[in-house]
Amino acid sequence: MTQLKFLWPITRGLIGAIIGLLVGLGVGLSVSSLTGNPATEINISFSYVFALLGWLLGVGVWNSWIREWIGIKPSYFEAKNWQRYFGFSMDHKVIGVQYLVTFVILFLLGGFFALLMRIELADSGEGLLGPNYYNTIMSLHGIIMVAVAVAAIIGGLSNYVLPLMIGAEDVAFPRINALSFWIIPPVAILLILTPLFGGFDSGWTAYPPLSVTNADGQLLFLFAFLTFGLSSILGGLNFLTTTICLRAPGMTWGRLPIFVWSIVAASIISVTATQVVAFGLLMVILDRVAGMVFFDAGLGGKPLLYEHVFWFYSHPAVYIMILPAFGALLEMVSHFSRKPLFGYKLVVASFLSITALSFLVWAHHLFTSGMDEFLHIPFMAITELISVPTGVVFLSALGTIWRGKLWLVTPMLFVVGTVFNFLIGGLTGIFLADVATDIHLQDTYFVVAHFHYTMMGGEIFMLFGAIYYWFPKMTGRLYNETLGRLHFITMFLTYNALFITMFIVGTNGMNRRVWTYPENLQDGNILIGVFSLLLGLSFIPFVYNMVASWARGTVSGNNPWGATTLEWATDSPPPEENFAHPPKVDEGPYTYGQSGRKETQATPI
Amino acid sequence: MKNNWTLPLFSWVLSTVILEILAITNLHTLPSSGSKQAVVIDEAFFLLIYICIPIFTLITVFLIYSVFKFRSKGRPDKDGPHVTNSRNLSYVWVIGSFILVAFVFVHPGVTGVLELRAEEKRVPDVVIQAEAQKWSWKIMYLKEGVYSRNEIVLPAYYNTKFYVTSKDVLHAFWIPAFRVKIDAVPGMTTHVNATPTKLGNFDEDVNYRLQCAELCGIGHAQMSIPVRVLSENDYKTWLKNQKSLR
Ligand code: HEM
Ligand SMILES: [Cu+2]
Ligand SMILES: [Cu+2]
Repeated sequence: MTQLKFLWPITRGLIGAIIGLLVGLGVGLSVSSLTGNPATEINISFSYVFALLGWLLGVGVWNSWIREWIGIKPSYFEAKNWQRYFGFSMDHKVIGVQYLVTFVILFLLGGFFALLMRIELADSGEGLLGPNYYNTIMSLHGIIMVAVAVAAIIGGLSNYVLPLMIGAEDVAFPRINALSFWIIPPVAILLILTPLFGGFDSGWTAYPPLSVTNADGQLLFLFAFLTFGLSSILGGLNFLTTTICLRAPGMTWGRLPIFVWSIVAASIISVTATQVVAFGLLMVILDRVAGMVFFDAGLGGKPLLYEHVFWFYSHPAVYIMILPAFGALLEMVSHFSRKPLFGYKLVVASFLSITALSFLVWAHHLFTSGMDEFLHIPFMAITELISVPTGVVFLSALGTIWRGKLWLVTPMLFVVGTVFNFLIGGLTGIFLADVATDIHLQDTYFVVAHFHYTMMGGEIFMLFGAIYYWFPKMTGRLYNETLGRLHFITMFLTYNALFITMFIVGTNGMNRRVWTYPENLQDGNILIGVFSLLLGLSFIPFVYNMVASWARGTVSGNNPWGATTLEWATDSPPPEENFAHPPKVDEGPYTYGQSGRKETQATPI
Repeated sequence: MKNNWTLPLFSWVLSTVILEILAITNLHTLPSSGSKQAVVIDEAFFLLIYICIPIFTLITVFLIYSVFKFRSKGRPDKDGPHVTNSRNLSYVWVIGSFILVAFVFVHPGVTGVLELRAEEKRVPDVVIQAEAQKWSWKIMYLKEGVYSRNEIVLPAYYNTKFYVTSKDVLHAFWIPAFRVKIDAVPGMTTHVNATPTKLGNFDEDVNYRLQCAELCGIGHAQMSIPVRVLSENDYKTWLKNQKSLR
């Protein structure tokens, strides 16, 4: 029994959730009997909200947090080695790993859904899923992957390394940090339950009126997205505050590693844009549950309003995804080229201008939406303008590699691959920013290929690259280099083969979110299906490598890469308080090539 | 030092020329072009491809070159030079990309929009209302008082204006052969123009179809009807037959 003690918080959370569910159901039933409105969705809403509260209280919010407010001695979750990951830990290193493992699993689940879609699409007629299930599987794939792209680098990797990189003992709000992780499991559970409630066939964009009138599964999706947004806001808040307040002595803004800057920029977007989409989702929920008519055109509602509100968040959100990837890319490019980052200040300026401009381009998703045509040219202009600061990332990457001493280990291979992928993602974006070409390409597989090139080719590639890079930091062990390279090569080749073909079927007239298509597109789709299967297989070496190396890889030593930034100045894995002695910083992050440079940024004590 | 630049610059020019030639001679990824609008859109599309090729090759060539040229066998035992910046290169890069963006914005950007709008401003010869409803289309010939549910028939060479409406959820009006697309939004009337430039029909070319392009639920994928472009005379006969049917 005592061996299973570590499962107690989760058990308590589940018990809390069940109690909450029952209470919520009771409230729901009484409300619906009073109003006489259709009961199901009211019941679902109350049950979920109370179950969420019950879960959070049970899993640790009560014990480690609220007890203190009311003068009872709090009790904190304590466990050793791998059992630490199963409770309400407030150590950012534990939370980082919790995030990473959760989101890698979600990534594999989302990938599995993608394979189901590709099996359906291997034939132009009806196959595995058919119209009833295709849309739900497609929508699940979309929202799960969006969540992975938003949270895996920020919540996982930056949670682990950002405090180390700035010489802090932890994040500014450790309890909020734990909370923002423990909010995630209910999101995943809601999404997985949607098929039992009729699924949701609206895509991850959930445009009303469809999302107001379809099956109850949609409501679960809306709550899941809303809850996830809450987690994302809390995370952003934490990283911003941490970077502002907890930098080690001497760690000036100009000495921050570039990855930290990218997280700052992405966090600014998280804390300012997310509540906008939350409000849009809430309006849809109110339309469904409380009979409001924000989007009911028959009663004066405006469906187009939702599209604006949605993209006002969701365009900036793509920069929440890609900025940390840029940061990780430039971080690694410097260490593995053994050269200082080229144009550090210019890169920081471009990150900040991307942050600002990202709020001013949302309507490029709406060129064919029927919005006022007057808006087309200004939104085209600002969208195209963003490619100037984005181009700086390429300048900096190439400028750093140039005349460097390249160490082509797996993370660096991922860097090179990402530069190539994102180049294609960025260039094809111009076709979608151009009003004329977008009129044809909007809502075709060209768009699908484009956003996979940015989100997967950019973000996810960098997620994997950065996992390899910081693996020794997190585990104290080396991953297997041969398997790592095998993973890179197979993933890179199959990925490109797959999504290049998608561009072709897209321009050729295949629209997106369909389970059937004209027969002339059959060949292309078969190719895509085969490549997807191979792409799926490429993750096997990764999973095996991670698990096996974590358990019994070669011990890495503290700084196996000989990298200069602060996270490598402490033990690998770091002690609970991160640094045995508080570090002092007296130079920039990338001192390569300076005569008599120190091992790392920190002054040895 | 000079040595470092000649090979990649030469490969850049060479690969650009090769790719441009290939693109000009061999790139047929767009559906057949069946309207004036398609001509504008395709021109913009190909122009953008031609503009993107040198950028693509520039970065790819320098990337590949650097990886091979500057790689070290195993762990590097020395650091690279402590170069943190190059003012001139940064200026050239930023200003260069700005000029490129400005160029693309003006042409094909603004010019494309203006050309499409010019077509739209003309007094239409045929006015059609396309009404979307889960999961079918109703095509109404407003001046002639005729409607059709299972196909759109259009006269070639005439400027047709489509008013697009929806009775339930969002849909989108898209004819791949014409390239034009506009959402059908409940509570709004949106519009789009197409001027067919040749005869054509769905049986010969699947891109002659009116396809819903905005997710609208289970029937979305199959919410499509054939398009048939006829000569003026055939079109008139067709209209007459439709009228007598009613
Ligand atoms: C394993 C490789 C993957 C394959 C084969 C794949 C395939 C697909 C397909 C076929 C669609 C449906 C397109 C449509 O009809 O609209 C889709 C949609 C989508 N995918 Fe992927 N995908 C993969 C990985 C990813 C990744 C890594 C991400 C993000 C990081 C992602 C994000 C999305 C999103 C956001 C959508 C849109 C869903 C929607 O329209 O609501 N996918 N994917
Ligand atoms: Cu956008
Ligand atoms: Cu549709």
